[in-house]
Amino acid sequence: MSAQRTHTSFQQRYRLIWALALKNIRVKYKNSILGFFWSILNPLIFLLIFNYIFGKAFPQIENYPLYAVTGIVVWTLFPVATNAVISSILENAGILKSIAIKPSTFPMASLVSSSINFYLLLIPFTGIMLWLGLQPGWEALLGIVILHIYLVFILGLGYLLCAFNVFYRDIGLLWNTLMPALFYFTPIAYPVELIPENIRWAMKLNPIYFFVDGFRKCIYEHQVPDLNNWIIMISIAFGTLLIGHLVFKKLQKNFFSFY
Amino acid sequence: MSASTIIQVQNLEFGFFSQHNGINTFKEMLHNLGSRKPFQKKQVIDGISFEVEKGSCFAIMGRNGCGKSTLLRIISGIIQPDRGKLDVQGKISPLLALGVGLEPELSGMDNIKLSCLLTGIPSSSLKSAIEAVKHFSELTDQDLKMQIKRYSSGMIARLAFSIALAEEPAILIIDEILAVGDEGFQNKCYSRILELKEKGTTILFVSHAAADIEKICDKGILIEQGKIIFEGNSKELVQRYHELFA
Repeated sequence: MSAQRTHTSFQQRYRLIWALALKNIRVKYKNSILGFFWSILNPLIFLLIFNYIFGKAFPQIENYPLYAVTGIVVWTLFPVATNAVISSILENAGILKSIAIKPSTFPMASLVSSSINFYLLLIPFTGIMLWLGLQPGWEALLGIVILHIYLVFILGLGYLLCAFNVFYRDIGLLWNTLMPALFYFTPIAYPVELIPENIRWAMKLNPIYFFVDGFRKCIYEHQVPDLNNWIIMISIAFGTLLIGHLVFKKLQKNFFSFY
Repeated sequence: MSASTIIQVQNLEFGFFSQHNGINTFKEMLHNLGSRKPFQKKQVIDGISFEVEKGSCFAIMGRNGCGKSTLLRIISGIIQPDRGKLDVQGKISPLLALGVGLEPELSGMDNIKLSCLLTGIPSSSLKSAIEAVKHFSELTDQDLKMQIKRYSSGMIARLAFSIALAEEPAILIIDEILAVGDEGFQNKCYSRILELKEKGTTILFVSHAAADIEKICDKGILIEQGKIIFEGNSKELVQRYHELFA
């Protein structure tokens, strides 16, 4: 019945998402001199601060800098990618108003560009981790797998917040405000053992905790996360994606009135 | 639907949501909390039905804000109607706004590629489409290497039109944007439109320029407050349009 949307084939859609993602990256660093290197600076500053301030506070942690950096790496992706996904629809409202494209193309493209950025970031950070005394075992490969499950979680969360943000811009603003709180709520700079045992369950309300914990197990502790951890990570990620996708799909019909 | 019909619209209805109390003050918001729905529907298209014949040029006229663009967006598949039936045979190339999706930081060439992908040109004909855009816009290779934030508005218009007109779509939708470009390029656009029409492209044309409507279009409708108040040939249509403001 209804009019055809363009981009019917899977291949066409894939090409478009890829082209938009590359465009995002090129535009982001276009007029800066150091370009990509600025995005390393942010996590690097965190690392330095943690090292000097918290390094002495947790003498019980062996090789604290490496401990901190494994957490920072996982965290770094989160604010950048969620913000990019949340704003993607409103940023491309002009296109969505004039060309029949599936709205979900833009959150997807934003996730892809954030991921590419993150992969590039992993190169210098692998160097830093090796320099800090990392001896990578085969478990490190599992760490990479965990990062991809984490990306699924971020996409799902992004869909959800992005859809609501179209109706109430408060969502995006609130999200930025919450970011520091969430950062300190996640055991990035400190060990979980620091939290009193009777309220430690609260940490598990934070989904990012599981990804930081899993990644750290693989990279820092040279352990394979147990089956339970995997099940939790996978259910969080795909559950969030499912809910996010359904909500987005349900709400996108009315996006048009709010661009 | 007969074989010669390319677009059929039946009892189309669409309304926008509007923020009903506009939340001007916090007090007002608290006061209204729960008692009213946060969003209210504003009917824009109110039961429109018409048919467009294959290969014809169909005009849509009406005052500002009467729902012309919304109607075009529904036909293009950009918005889903609340009620009604829409049947479109063939690929639509909508020209609803100029320069949409153009990225100022990127070069003209990169923008052509991106726009072609955005408008859904299949990868098999991407190369020839890019050539066609280059040719039609008359922009030099040097121009196309330049970031388009350094383009004049006329050059951007050329680029945008070329992207939309280079292809040979089954249906072309033009929303009152022909008034840009210098005289030479305007004439070129008109002749391209007529050429496409001769080749069998169906054209939906929104404009306030009565002369253009009479020159290009065969038939058309006049819309007032989301309803069709006149349907007929373009001469009478223009007359009725003038009467609206008499």
